[in-house]
Amino acid sequence: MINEERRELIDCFVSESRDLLDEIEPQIIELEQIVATAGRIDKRLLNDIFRLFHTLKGSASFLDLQAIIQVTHQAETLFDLFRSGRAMITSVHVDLFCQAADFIRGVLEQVEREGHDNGFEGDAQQIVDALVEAIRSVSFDGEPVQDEQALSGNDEEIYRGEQVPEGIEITADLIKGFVDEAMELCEGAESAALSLEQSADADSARKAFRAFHNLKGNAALLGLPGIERVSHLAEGILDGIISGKRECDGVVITVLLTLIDSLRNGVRRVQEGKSPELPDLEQLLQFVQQAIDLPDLDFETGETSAEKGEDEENSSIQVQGTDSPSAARADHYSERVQSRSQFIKVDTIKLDQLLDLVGELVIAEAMVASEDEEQSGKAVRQLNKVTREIQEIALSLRMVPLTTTFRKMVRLVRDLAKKENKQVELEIRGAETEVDKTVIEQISDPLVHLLRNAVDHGIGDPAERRAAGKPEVGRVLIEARHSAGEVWVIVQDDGKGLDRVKIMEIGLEKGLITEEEAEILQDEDIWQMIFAPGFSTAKEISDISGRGVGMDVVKNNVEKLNGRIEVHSTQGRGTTFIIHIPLTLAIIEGMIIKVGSARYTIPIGSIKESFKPRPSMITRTPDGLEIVQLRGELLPVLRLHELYQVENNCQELSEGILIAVQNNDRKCCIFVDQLLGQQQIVIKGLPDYLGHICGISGCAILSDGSVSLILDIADLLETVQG
Amino acid sequence: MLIEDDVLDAELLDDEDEEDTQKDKFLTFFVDEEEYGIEIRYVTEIIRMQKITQVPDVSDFIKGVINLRGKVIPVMDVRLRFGLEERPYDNRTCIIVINVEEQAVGLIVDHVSEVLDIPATEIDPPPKMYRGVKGRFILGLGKVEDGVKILLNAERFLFDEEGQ
Repeated sequence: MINEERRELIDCFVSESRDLLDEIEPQIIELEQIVATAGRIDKRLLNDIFRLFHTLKGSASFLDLQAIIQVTHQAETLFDLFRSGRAMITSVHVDLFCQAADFIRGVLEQVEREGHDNGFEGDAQQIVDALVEAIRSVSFDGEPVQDEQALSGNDEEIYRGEQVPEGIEITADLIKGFVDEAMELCEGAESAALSLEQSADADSARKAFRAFHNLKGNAALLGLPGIERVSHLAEGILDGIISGKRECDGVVITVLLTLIDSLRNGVRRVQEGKSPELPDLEQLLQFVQQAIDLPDLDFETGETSAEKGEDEENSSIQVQGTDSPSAARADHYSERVQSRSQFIKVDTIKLDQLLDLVGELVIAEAMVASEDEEQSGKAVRQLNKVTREIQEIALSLRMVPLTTTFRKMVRLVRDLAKKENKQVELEIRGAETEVDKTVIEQISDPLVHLLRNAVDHGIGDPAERRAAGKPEVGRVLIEARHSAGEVWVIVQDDGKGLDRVKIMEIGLEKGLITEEEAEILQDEDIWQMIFAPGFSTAKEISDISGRGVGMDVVKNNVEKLNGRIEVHSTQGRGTTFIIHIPLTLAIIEGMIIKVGSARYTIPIGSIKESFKPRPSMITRTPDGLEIVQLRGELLPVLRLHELYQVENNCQELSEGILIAVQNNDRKCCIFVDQLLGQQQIVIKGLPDYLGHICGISGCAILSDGSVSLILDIADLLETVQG
Repeated sequence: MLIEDDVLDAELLDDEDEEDTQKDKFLTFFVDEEEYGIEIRYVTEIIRMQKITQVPDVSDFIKGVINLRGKVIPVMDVRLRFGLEERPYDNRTCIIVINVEEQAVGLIVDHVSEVLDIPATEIDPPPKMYRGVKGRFILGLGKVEDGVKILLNAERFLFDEEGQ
């Protein structure tokens, strides 16, 4: 059992470590970019990352979390080599560090749940080994580990290796032979998998199947269980495709490509004499498992049906272009981004201010309590001022900068771009912008989806971009900024842009718009259609797959925050999404109105104007509907007292006040007795016990301590106008 | 006898986490002529009558919402919940704030009586004949020296729909 004290330590540790990892990841990636472009190492950055690993190690050792200690220790050692200039960092190392970071995150999750890191020893050892190997290779060779460029291959023929008799001594020659052949096999499998994605023919599937099969055999011979297992897995998946049991969609291809990548890594590690050949095997298997249903994988008995009937003809294979290739991956991200603890980091300056103010409050209270008549006016004013300031500070405690959320996107964009062989530069602006904590929780998902779309579909591959006369490196911008009581979160790419014609076609097909509307709709309205639920399952909008994957998720989350999304797009030039979110969810500007003895609050944003009607403006239809003419516009009157069955003072419209309210294109005039004035109100939810009440979104506490109901104009209009 | 908020609060809340001291204890109150009891573990505080903001579109026994130190909670008139006549509130009318399944609800009662120890052995199920209105809200009948207290089933009292 975890006692309370340790629990507290663990919670602190987990939250702190996550923050550290959040810092480490983007910095490592930044480092990679600097090295790639400038060709030299940024000392300051190296020192920063080194320190972060060191801190992580320190706090882990406090809790005796061996898995984390070991991994961070080796990472630190490796970094020390870079720091001292004895080696250059390459993308292989970056991958390694990212792996280590992911591993630590995994451990943290368990630690958070169960308070210990038991069960991670094996995985930790693998990563440690990988790091040790990296350390050894850089410190002894003084040469960075070679990247994959050196590999060339032809995918025409699949080389069939000679069968080596059992019990043979594994010589350097044998390994070299294996490596060469394995690389060729990987190459063959990859091109087959890619052509499988283009058009699903059984030949490609069989070709890939054979490649994996051979690789499996060779690996078994040399005693490389990791490669053997992964090849077997891939073989199983392909078997499913060949026999028509598995649909050959984007996700499956992604999985296959992932497997091929890790096989390559494994082979490279074999070449460098490292062991085990696949340190991240477990994560890989897990990833595959999450992405697709695993084929029946009894590894020991490992005979797949295709092995028996390999030359079966005319197997039907279907390619579906619906899923974005990185869907599985990005979902994995959104999960990771979401699983945040309930801690909130507060600037100590704010806390100090709050404490100071509480001190002031105590003094002010004493002043009010003292019976000195003369002082009393002053004391009340003082109390008033202090209270207001405390309110402000208290609210600002919930405000958190977007920095962490934005930083997470760095890794996402890098991985996506790498996966799709695109070059993408992510620019971040205004990450220091503070938003409510709820916003932070809700915004990561939309961001992930928007960025994924931007990289997947917006930005073309280098060749395509060159052809369009754009720089090969695509640009994606995420920006946050304040604008008139709102926070704007902007995701912008300079890619292909949305395709009006195709979106309209699908809109017509799905019955979202009519033929006539299609003619007259503004671009802005067309773009909004991509947020319609189910729109994402449409066939190709852009040439890779349906742009709009998860767009309804984006919209839902933004609406939860009372926000809206604006889309701008120019074909061939790029797309900009602007998410508008109210600055705070806790406070709105409201108009307090009086109906009889009841006081309601109407959010200022919904009010167009209020006026005292002249009798001549009012028309009453035979069915009792009252209509008021306002500058040529005819608006129905809603008598709030009738709807809510409260007694009111004014019966004649001309005695009271009409408030013209609007939501989208619905409008009406609400009839009330009196306007009590405009003020900032703190929104409180209605008690759950009452359930949803028509036309009421919550309540506010007025200055006299009584409760006022906040009218939900959108809901109200929908109810009365159907 | 009007109970001062502070005194009762202290008495009730001090032992909030200690199951044992709350066991078999009931807060009793009067509605109409009868004395009712509710398990003390549900009770968070007792407050005087407050200004109630009416809420449209809810059952008639929900009188509205009140502001309880910044928290908005619904209040229910126990008389109306039992289907009794409404009665003007006076200076003995109290709101018992109870917390059931994370929901805070105020119960308007004629007046609060006392905290009683009624061991489980002294609680009988309502006799089969008992067909009084809203019989389903009853947990049991508590036998004490000076008579019988009707003990309420708090969950059902709050969450049972009319006529079920």
